[in-house]
Amino acid sequence: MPSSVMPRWQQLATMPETSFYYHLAYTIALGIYAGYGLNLYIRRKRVREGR
Amino acid sequence: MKISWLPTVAAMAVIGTVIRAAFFTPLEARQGAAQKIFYIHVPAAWVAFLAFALVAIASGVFLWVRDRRLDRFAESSAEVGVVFTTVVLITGPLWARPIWGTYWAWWDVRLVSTLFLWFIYVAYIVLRGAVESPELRARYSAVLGILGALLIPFIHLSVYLFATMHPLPIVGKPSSPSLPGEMLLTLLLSLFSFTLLYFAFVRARYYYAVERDAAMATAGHDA
Repeated sequence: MPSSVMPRWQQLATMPETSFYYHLAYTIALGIYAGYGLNLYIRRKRVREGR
Repeated sequence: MKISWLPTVAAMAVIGTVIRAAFFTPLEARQGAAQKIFYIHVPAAWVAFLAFALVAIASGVFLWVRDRRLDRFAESSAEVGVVFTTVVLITGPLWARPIWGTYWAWWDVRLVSTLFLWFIYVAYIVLRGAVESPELRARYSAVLGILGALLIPFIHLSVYLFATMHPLPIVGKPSSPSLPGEMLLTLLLSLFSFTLLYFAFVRARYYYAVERDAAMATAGHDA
């Protein structure tokens, strides 16, 4: 295992403060993609319905 | 309800990538969980560059052959590129805060030039909404689309040309990638799945533009 990789047994116990930013970044990014996908769906639906 | 295969496959690929990044990719020893932002930040930057490069190519060919389909593709790709650049500009500072100790540095050329790229393509979208004539709108936005993409090589090279906090590329560098195999595989998977998501978004946005233009033509307006 490369030295830059931490064994799995250590993973849960380390650096909890950085996991906040990790969870926040994933939540925002996936929220943006899902929101844009929904936005496209609604815009297409409105055009098809003639609104 | 008809289910399109491309958005479905893209969504499943993205969900699979996130699950792999979260549960099956090891933590980096010094940065901890924050390093996993890498798997959404880097693909978003790659897709943003791809999107704007394709805007420039489609715009250049449009100015030559004047085919409205190219203008609609450029319009679609620019909007999707702005979405991905927004993700880059949010996930980057969230990664920087625990590692660099700050969200943003105004003197950092990589950061500020990426923000500038975002502003240019937001201006592209605003320009499209501001010009009434379809021919003029297509021409003006094609020129802006080409000029904006000139920033891409500058942004890529900025980490070599200027003192910056942003790290140098670790996968695309001239020597071999310095990522462990499990991390490299997750990165490659994320590049693939977010590129697929880009094509799904652009396809949907293109069809929206076609349907919108057809509806406007039916209503008697210029599309």
